[in-house]
Amino acid sequence: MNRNVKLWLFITVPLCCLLVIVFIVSGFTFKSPVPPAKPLSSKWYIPETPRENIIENEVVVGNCWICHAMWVPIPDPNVIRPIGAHPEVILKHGKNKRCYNCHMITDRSRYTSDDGKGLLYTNVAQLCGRCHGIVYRNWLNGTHGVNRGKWAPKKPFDVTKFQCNYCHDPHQPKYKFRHMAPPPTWDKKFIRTKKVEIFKEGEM
Amino acid sequence: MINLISKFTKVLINGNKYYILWVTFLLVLVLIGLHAYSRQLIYGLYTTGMGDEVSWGFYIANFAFLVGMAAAAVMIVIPVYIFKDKDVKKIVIFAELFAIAAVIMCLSFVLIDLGRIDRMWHLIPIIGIFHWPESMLTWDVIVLNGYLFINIFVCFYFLYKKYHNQEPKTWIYLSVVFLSIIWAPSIHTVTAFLFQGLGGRPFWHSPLIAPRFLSSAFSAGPAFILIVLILLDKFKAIHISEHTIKRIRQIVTICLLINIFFFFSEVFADLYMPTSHSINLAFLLGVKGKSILTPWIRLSVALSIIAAIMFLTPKLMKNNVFVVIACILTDIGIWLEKGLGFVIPGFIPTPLGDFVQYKPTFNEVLITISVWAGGLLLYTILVKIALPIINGEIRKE
Amino acid sequence: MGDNKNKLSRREFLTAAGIGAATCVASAAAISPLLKLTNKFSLEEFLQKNYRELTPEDKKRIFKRLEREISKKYGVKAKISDPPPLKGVKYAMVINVGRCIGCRKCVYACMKENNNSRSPQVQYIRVMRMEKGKIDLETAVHDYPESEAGQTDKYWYMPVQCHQCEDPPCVKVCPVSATWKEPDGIVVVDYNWCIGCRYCLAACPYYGRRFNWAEPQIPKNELNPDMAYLSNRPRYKGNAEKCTFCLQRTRNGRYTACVEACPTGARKFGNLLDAESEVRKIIDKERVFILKEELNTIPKMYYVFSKA
Repeated sequence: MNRNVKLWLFITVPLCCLLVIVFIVSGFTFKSPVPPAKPLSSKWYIPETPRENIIENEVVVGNCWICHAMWVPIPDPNVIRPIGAHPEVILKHGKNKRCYNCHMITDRSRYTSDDGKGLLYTNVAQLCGRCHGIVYRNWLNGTHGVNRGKWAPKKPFDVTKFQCNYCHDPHQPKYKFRHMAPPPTWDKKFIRTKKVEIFKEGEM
Repeated sequence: MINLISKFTKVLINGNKYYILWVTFLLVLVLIGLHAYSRQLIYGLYTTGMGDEVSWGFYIANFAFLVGMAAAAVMIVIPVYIFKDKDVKKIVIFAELFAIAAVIMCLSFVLIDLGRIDRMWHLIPIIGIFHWPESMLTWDVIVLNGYLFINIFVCFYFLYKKYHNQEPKTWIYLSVVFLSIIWAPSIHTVTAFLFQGLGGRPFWHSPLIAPRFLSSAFSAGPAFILIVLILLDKFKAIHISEHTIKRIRQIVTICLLINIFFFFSEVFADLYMPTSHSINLAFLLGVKGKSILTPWIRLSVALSIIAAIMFLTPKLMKNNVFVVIACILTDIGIWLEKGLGFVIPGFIPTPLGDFVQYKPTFNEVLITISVWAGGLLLYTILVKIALPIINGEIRKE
Repeated sequence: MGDNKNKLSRREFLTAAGIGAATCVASAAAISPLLKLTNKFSLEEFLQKNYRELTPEDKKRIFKRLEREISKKYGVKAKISDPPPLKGVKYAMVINVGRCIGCRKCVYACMKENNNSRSPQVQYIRVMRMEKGKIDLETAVHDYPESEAGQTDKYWYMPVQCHQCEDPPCVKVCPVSATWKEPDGIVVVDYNWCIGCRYCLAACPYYGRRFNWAEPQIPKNELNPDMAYLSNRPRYKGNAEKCTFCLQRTRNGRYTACVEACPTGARKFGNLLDAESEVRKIIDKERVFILKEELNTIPKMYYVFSKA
């Protein structure tokens, strides 16, 4: 019996002592497995519409008359687009290829309207509404377009309702947005399977 | 009291060299696991392989398996008290002691899985908030702790009477034993309901889960106890009759066959007409894509079938070595099926269809092994103390 | 042996004592890294009750303490408020998937507003890229790069976050009632009561819940100092969190961060009980659908395919 009891002293106790050293060493050397935090880019989270900055920074808005009334003559209304007029403007607005469908031919600071008086820059949505009636109605209802501010507006300035041109370039109205944010990141320890490996082409 | 402690200390430190090496081995594992767990406490569960996608991993998998092992003690008790099988009666205490160790392992697995173990008191009724009866987890807390106390009471009462050289009072003993017979399936059923009740996880949301849990438990648990008994018999600690082994073997065999049947039933239902809800199982079995778990679940099915064939071959069963091998295969097979093959695939893919696989980290494996080692150490100690009392070597003077 | 049989000999006693001592020392060494724990244990925090059992005085005291802790940790003067739910309001969100371009601005605006952990990364919103002609989540791609966003001629995009269910499975399963549904329909978590069992993560059919697997890290200059107790105050290691419809903003009448950041106006937010609200107008006029409607959790997040 005693011979076996000695085993405790010769094996268990030294093993425990060895473990003490191992634990203390590993306790000091073990570092946090969490990678440090990376700051977010403000481009990823600051609210913005595609043309918000362009519109706010525009200088000559509403001042077209300075040139058009003084030096540039009123063109022939049958011309779709006068040669050499604003060559930087690339027009991709579907069927709508004539400049004077929207720009008022007699007063270039205004837009065309049904009553012939012309629309001011700030009411541009009414101009778009002449063709895009359903969208215009939805925009008025608040179901189309971007709102900022309060979901339950009580005072007139509680909510900012963006006009059409804050998102759509009137000359190329197809929606364009440049600041896309990156996908979520997974730590190395997570093994993610690509969908392609699971679902074959035909099934996918 | 001091007398008693010194008696038990003597029992505990005297043993053959295998015993001493075994205890030392387990003790070292427990200490290493303790160290690993302290790391987990400091750096959070990030030290495990779990993430938002697979939010339960190795710990809960082992928990689900061990609840079954604990419940299985009842399968040894039933033949004794319902079918009046006198021969098996002698070994009931070993099954009940194992139930104690297994429930404690279960509770440890749940505790180490918690993110905020310091807030455990929130779960205590009255001083905390016990969200009962809505939350199945509260039911699990009740049934697991209840089962633990029932088993501690039965074992303590039995050993106490033996120590005092008295016969246990039949009505006390029997009433508690019958309570435990009713209670034991409940712990596993409730654990199955824990998963089964989640409508958002189609892999778990199947009415066959609870029966599958019970059948797998009632084969894995008795199989483990059979291994223990044959080993104890080999070391001449107790004598086990041929009849006892046969009776337990029969239980294991039948439950194993039922379990394999249930598994194939589930596979058929999911894969014959593969709906979008069968993607978890299809991915697990490697029908669509390849999961890390695919080889393991295939191995599990193979092991279960091999074990079943071994159990059904009378020639092999005459030799206890083959019985032990078949039992080990059963246990490993069911551990793979219930742990790796049930809990984890429920999360792959996520409800939004993201296929993030789970691989336990080294730290996590250390902690898991350590809980197992702790449980086995506890069981070893309990058996070591119980043996001389049962054999009449320690008595009150 | 005889008489000696049950007596502990001196040698045996010393052996047992030796083993005991060695084990104790080794255990102490094993848990010695715990000394590294930076967060000092606070009895006040430990004994803090569930939010719903707090008296107004308790709340005032707790908010003061939290403000102090946050200012100390981040060097920013934070203000913790507790806006009450508005009467007669049930919040709902409508996402027009016909408009979503998958730019993920909502994801990061949400992270910034709600002080989500940057590492390990916690994002409440997951944007999925779908094949045209499919609404199968299993084939959806979650990690498409920036360059594949905005290709609405090839794909369509679907953002998913907490659906603020009327019958939330996550609330039902929580064993300690650390999460509940507020009268305005927002499901919130008491970050000081959650025990971190992650049962809610398993129960949620929308992958709406997140867990803090490590101590959340937020760069000091990015902290949003305008906080509410139930929503965007910094979280703790080891507890669950979720989208709260930015209740620190919405209960004060403002739009959520994701709605405000959406450049296309695909997200609409408002009061479900008000027939004049944007969300009601869409639900009444358009054909909306609900994700995983068969689960019957009655989400308050609606999807609509609409080009107008």
